[in-house]
Amino acid sequence: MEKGCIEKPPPGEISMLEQLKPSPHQVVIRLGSSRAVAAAKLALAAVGQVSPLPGHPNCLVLSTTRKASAKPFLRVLRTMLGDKAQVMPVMLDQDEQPHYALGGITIRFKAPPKAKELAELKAKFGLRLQERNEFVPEQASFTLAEPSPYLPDLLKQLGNRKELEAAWPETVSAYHRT
Amino acid sequence: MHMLSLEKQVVELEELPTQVVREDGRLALRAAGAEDRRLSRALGAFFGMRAALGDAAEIQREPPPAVFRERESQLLRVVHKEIVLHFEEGVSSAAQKKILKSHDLEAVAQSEFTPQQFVVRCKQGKRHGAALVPLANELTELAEIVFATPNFVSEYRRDLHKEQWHLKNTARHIGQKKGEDVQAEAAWKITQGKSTIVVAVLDDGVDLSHPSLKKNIRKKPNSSDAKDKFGRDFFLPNTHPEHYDPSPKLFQFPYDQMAGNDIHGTPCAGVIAASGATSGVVGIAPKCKVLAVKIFHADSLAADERVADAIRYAARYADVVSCSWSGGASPNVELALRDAALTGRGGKGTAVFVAAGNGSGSPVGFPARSQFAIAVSASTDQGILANYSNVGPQIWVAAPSSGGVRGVYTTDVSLPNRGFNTGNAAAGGVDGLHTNDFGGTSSATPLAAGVAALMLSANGKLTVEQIKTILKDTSDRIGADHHPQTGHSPRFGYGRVNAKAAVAKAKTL
Repeated sequence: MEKGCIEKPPPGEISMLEQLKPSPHQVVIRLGSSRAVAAAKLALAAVGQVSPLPGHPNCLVLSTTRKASAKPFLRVLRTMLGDKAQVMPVMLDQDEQPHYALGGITIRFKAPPKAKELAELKAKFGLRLQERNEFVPEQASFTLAEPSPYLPDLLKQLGNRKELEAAWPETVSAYHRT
Repeated sequence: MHMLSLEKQVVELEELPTQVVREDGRLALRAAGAEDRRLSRALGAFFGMRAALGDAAEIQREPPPAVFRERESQLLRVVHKEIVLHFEEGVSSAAQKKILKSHDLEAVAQSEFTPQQFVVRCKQGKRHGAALVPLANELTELAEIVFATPNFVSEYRRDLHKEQWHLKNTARHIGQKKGEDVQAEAAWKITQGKSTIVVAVLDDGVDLSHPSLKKNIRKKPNSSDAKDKFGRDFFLPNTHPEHYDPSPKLFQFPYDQMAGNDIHGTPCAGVIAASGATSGVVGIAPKCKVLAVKIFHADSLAADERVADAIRYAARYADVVSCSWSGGASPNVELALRDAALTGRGGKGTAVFVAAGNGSGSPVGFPARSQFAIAVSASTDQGILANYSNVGPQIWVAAPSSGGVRGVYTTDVSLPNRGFNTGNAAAGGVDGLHTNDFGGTSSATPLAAGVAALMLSANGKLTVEQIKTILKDTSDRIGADHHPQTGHSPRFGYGRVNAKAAVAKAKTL
């Protein structure tokens, strides 16, 4: 088939999807209250540069020279901030554009998920159904368990499940009107 | 069939098969190949045929008007029972009556301004419709008559705004090259679009009350959602009180700068479907509709999930989608593009046109680089690539935009002191309703999307693959770097969109 023409990918084929990878030096921290945000700013000042995530008052972005995507570092941060804080690596696309995870994930199933499958995801990964997609019955968004798991690991595990087409973190990012 | 002009020149007319039907309790005129709402309304508006006399038998008795398409201009002309007749000066009243009587005519009105001119009709309506054309010609040949012509109700075409070079480039400004445009006027001889064809504009909002857009805003796209009156604002949650208002909302000083202001979607919408109600500024598909889908609040970070869902919404309720933006790569957005291409329009696919980006030769951005998008680069009024345009193998077509001598003249936010033009004659007019300097691949994209809307107006059965193939086969190969075998250029794709050729080809399939 000629390049650019539209062809339905074979079932299970998700190679067309743009891949996101964890940023080595930035994390998003989601906190439960404005008081927790103020306390976190103080605590994190020694670790790196802390900035707000525009439009999301309960989220902070920590930029550090340490390897922020490493699990032990994230564990240290969680210990510092408490289990209620969600600590997630900023995700980068192939153009190195940052996508800021907000603490949820979206899953595209191969068929509309049944209650049994949802229960299994909850039991195995702590994923709680937030809402089914308004337009696509095969898609739904989930909230993560507390303390939140290491996001890249979770996505990798979900990617290996045969009933799922794809899974990705819910993110906000910059768009440019051209 | 032909009629005679004042200079006795032959004007060729093609008669279209015509039918009078009942429609929503009214009588409507139908003519093959002229599906125009104005035409269907002409019966009541001009010829006094009302539904009250509209049972089947009476429709049969009342002769239908005749509908013609003038061959050269392609404009519609409709005649029912009357002829306009202008006698030479000095022809006496008695001589006038004699001529009328000899042709079985009676005067029904005399011109208020020219006493020698009358509206006449055949007694007992013996000759009507198409038969009036040869009768008028016969009268025109008489020495006593200056002209006689069927009393046509006609389609008029408002002239293009002289600055809309992207539609018709007449090289009005020094440096512009004549013909470096999208061939809009020639395409409009086939169709100016259908109101049933909808183009979704996914951007920072569309000014729903702009005088040149409000007529062409798609209303109630989702009949099962009473709140959905004009489109949605996906930047805001579904439960937000302003979710169902896709207008521009965010403004901050300086109001004529894109940064901080929702002023980008309104010019995009005008490039597609401005109606011409203000200053004659029209879109490429002035009879199609625009579905306003707001996804941005100026430059604020946007949730990828919501952008993806906005694409899915647009694909469900529009035939074509126009995205004049780029963003970080998102699996969800890419899946939404796939959903649009595979399931939109009942499986025929919704064509999603996406701006290649303005990175001055950088690779094509996301989502334009997706295999499920139609990536659009920008050419100028000099017929070359705009120097800001991104390039790459994913470019499918180019379309005219800024970067040459002039930018694109289109609609602007109509709120006072808001928009690219806040009320400056040099920026597009003191009323602030238009800007004369829109551009980037942002302007090229809705232009290409609007051409697709014209194609679908000509042939609603086209699949998204057929749309792409037609664009590939009919675009003008400007530039010297098109591959000798494939015809592809990393700068122009398969060439600059040619609306005339694309619409003509669409009609033949």
